[in-house]
Amino acid sequence: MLKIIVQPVDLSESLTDVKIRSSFIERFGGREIVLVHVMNPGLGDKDMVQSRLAHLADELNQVGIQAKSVVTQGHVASEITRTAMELAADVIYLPASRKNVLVSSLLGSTTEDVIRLSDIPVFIHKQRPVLVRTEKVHNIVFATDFRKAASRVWLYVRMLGRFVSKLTILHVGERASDPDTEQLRRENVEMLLNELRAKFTDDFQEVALISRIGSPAKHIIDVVEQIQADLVVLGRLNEPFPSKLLGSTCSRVTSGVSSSVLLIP
Amino acid sequence: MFQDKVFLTSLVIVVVFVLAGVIDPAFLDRTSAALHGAIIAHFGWAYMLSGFFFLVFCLVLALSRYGEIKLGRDHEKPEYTYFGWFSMLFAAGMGIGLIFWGVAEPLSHYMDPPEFIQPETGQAATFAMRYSFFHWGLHPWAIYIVMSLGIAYFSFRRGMPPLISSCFYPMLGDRIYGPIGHFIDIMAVFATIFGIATSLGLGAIQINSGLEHLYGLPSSTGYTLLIILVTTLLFMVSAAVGLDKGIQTLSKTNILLAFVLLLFMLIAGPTSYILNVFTDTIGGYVGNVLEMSLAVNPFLGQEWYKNWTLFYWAWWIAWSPFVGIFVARISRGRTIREFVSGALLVPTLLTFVWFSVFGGASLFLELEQGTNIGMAVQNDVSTGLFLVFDHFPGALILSNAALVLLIVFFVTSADSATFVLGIMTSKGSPNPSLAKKITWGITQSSVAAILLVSGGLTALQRMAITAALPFNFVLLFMCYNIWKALASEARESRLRQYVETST
Repeated sequence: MLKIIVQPVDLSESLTDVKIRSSFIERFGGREIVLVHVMNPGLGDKDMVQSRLAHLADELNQVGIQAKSVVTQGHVASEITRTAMELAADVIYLPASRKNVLVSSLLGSTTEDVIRLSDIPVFIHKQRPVLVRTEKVHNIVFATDFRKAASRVWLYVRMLGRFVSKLTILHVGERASDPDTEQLRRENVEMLLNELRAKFTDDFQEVALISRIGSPAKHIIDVVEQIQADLVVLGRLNEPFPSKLLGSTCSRVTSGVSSSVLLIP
Repeated sequence: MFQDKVFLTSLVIVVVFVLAGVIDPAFLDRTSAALHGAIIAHFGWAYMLSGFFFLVFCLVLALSRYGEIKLGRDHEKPEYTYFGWFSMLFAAGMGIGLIFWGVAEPLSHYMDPPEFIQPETGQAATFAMRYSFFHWGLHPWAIYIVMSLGIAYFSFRRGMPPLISSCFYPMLGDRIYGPIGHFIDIMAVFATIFGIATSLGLGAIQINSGLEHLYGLPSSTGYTLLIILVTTLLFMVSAAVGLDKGIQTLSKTNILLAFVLLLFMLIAGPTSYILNVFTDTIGGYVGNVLEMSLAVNPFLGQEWYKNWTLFYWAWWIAWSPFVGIFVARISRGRTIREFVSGALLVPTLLTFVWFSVFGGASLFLELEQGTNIGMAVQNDVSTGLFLVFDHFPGALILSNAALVLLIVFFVTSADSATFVLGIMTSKGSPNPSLAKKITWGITQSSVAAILLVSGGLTALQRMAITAALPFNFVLLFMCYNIWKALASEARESRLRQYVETST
């Protein structure tokens, strides 16, 4: 499912960094990695950049990872998403910087923009899983509100079952406005969660269910940190104005968790 | 009866405060003055902003698609006729206060306006009428509506007990049944008992003033206590009879009597002058309502606003649990739009007419006839109404009618309060036991009587205002809960249908 992977590079990365990242994402069934660099219009030497990028791609090819490079000019996030669309990429891989606490917590604006603009899945690689130490994903969280956006994620979760042993399905709901309706809501959530468990039982060694009430972003972050999940998978919704004003659930989760995030539009 | 935590805790708190007022009234006076002063000085802006927000919230609700939602199940119809409903709304929400302040407030503002207005001038009279409208107009009713709408919606449509804590279910969930919920309900009882005790005390003083003015009965504490005793007996009988017969009959009688009095004053008094006052003040009110809603005048001296507007706003908020529960109880089966528009506009319009007639007549006497009635009111506000009647034909009948009106409003307010306190301390039972109603009836009259004797009435009035600050936030959170619950109506209805079909 994740055959063609777009990996933006700003050329500040070392060859080792690019190799480690590429070998990590290749583990999810990747066939080809496309290294993309976006130049500021009118700035920099395009030939030199192309040559450096080609060198990186060659190095990857030499270690058995099929790679190619693309250099474009313009608004960084727009160019990344446009290139990914043109190449019919399956996922955009974005490593989150850990060098600066502030930048890390707020995320680079490019990352946020890519998340916002992209119509294809985006994988944001954060502190977990730690590449150098394990290179493995043990535990993923699938956050669902049982709506359309979440159902689009099912195929990806299933695919991840080939590489991951434990799945935690998390539902964060809104409390009903009276005790009787709340009881109905709880029973309904329990039933839907069990249906999902049945759907994924064959794909994972272990499936756990968690149901909570309150702010989705807050609880997703809380659960992910509590069980030290490596990856959280979310369906991306176009949320209405007031909630977007405070930050969409996706962007709040993405900036708040220590685990990696896979966003499915 | 004593197993109810809210009932027992509230009773203990009330007794402790009363004992404090009896044993060391100076201490209670000092403490309450400090608290009250600090709240009014530092949170005045919060009261003003909140009051305005509640009004906007009510209007938005009524005009939104949620306006179609019923305060009850979809098939339910209103329990009371419009006349019965408006009568009870008016009697519970304003009643006794209007009789007390109908003459006294416009004259007080006229004699003692804010620093930037020259007293005893035409400008002061215009200001006096406009602010009397403002203090008793849309804003108090918006505060009451928020409270009663929350209670009515969550109890009649969502099947929860008619308690203030029930309105917090979307936010707190099952925690409303624990200490947080109890705390909210105890605060409501606290505000209600002191609010009503103070009003009963003031009402009894005015009845005594009327009796002195008419029959020469000495205006003394002993007689005031006797008045409290007699009226207590009257409202206990009304409370024992129950809501449908007692309060409704009394309210209807009272509104008829008030209407007759109003009509007589309009016809026998300076009719054109009164109608001019009404028209002019309505125009001034509508044109300036936004400015008045947020006026605290930091640059022109705030004292007047602290003493009047902020005091009233805190006072209405303190009264909101009592009026809210009562109004909710009588509004079952109405749609939100009907409820908001009815409860916001009709009592407000009646209040405006009342102030125009009584305030207009008193200002006519003061400005055009030179009766010097303003000075007399400044000395004793409780005598204002009777002094105005002296200048009308049939003064004796009018004053007697006003006395009856006062007594009946007194009984209705006390009866409603007893009923509401019973509900609040019976886990929201719509029909509280007679024992509880009697307990609260005796308690509130005793509180009024003891405080009257010990001189702590003002202190307790301040305490009721102090209790309004947390209640202001309770009301704001209530708006959030109401909106959240209304917004989830459609979704939850689909859930119920889905569960029903799948089972």
